[in-house]
Amino acid sequence: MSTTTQDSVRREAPRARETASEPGRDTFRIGRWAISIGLIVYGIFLIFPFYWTINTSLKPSPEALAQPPTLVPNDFTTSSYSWLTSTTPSSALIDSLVVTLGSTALAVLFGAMAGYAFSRWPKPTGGEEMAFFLLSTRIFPPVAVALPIYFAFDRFRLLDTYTGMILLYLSFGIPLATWLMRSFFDELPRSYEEAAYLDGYGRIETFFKVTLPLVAPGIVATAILTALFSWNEFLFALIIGGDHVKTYPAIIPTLATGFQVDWSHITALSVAAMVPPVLVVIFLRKHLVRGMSLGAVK
Amino acid sequence: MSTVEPTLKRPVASRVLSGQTLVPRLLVLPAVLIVALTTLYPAVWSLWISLHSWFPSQGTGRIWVGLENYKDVLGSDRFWHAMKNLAYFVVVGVGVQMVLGIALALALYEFVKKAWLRVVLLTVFLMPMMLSPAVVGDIWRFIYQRAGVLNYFFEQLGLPQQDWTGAKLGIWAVILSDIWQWTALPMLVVFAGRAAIPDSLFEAARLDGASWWYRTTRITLPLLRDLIIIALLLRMMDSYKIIDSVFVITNRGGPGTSNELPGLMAYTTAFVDFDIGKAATITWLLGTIALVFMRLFWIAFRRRA
Repeated sequence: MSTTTQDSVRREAPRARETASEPGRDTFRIGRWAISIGLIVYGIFLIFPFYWTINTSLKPSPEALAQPPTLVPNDFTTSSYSWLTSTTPSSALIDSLVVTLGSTALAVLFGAMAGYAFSRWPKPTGGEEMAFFLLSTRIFPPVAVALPIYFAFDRFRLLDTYTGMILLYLSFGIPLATWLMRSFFDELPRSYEEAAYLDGYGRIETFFKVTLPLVAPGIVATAILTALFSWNEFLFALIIGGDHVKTYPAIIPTLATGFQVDWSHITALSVAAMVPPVLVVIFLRKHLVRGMSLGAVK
Repeated sequence: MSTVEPTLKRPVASRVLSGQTLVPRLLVLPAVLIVALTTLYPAVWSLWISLHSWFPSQGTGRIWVGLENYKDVLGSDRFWHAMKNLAYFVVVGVGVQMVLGIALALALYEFVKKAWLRVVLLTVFLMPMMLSPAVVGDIWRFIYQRAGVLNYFFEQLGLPQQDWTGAKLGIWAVILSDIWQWTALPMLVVFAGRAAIPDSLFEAARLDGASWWYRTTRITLPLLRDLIIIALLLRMMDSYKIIDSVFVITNRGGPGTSNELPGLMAYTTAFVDFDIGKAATITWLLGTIALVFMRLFWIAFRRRA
């Protein structure tokens, strides 16, 4: 900046060469190596637990605890995966599915309704303040909610029922869905709706035929995130669930207590439980990032 | 047409959109109702119960004890030990996730130019975030156990074996698993933000011969400040309320209460000791801290916006 004209002229020539062959070549190359190594080390750290889980799930139970551990199954078997079709794990996975689908559908519906209202009529709904109040429930430690809910559900016979679980997951899904949907509706120019009104569409018709299709990507992002929450939730599943409704995270501790821990079964269940979320990552990554940052990333 | 339409459009739109109060309120009703029922009701209930001594499993009724529970909890080493663990968790755990996440995002954006490789790496980095904390906890518990694979590697390298989930290392073991699971969040947010910065902003700096470090600290990071703050807050909020992975990895905060976090302490107090009054006290303390924190964040957020 403070260089004289002469200086900058003198520097002009080497710079031209530098851009032809990358700038600061040696440092660049060293930096490149360091970064590649860093990425590889982090990659190993990241992948190892996955590899170890899959590896263990393909061993017979005694081999899972063998010393020294076997890096590939000596005695390859898929018996743990056959075990998944037995009553306990299969009904747990089905319960998880029911609770996830139920709570996601309702959370997206109520969240879209509320998000639309917060976005289009900020005044009568309390707008941003109210939406923020909903969001702030996200920071509440789940135990703070779980304890009173446990006693209330006990009284209303909602413990160990689908209704109870779905209702409870809604209390976490709705704030998230409302906040996200509001940000998606906010981005949608009102002129589209105004044009529809001009064409003689009614309010409800406009909402379903114009607004809703336009925020479809937002709905996908919202649904993914609420579904992930419900699918993975652990603490409430443990407290509210029982003999009738027990989602898969809640049965994991029952497999792992005592002295006989069947790691082959636990890891097989873990692998099965990973499948839906991993498919989401692979096919819907963009939507996911949007939701995960609460709409901060466009 | 262009002269007529605006005058026509406005009354129609405002007739339909504004001046309405019933419809919007009906639209938010289910959401507000469910959330109020599941947050306001528990808040009031907990406050009331926290002023009582209540052991339902012993069949005794509620006994009014005033602020006794608060004195007990705030005066107990157990609570402050749990708070200390939480501080490690939020400061060290989230700190590492942020630094590592930002570094990875920039490395990925600026040094990995092949599109397919980027997608593969992003997908792999994202995967742990999709898992249930119960599953993550189990995977790591298996790796950490006495005769587990981590100690096996240590043995091979000639290093002393460790009690990874013991009183000394337990909380750090959980923090490592949390780093494994959540570093991708700041990474993704920063990556997306970096990708949105137009290259032209870097042209001038590059022509001036500014180093990569200079460009990063003076241009990239300041531009990404808001996104970084959002990622930081999201991670802090989630860490604040974490229970699951500690529950699984250290078998409910053990040995003893050495690896406990406040939320877990509330859980154990309620569902193992059945000391409901004291559990309500802990949750109320945690809830209040959370609310104050959120309020402060909101004020800061509004001021900037």
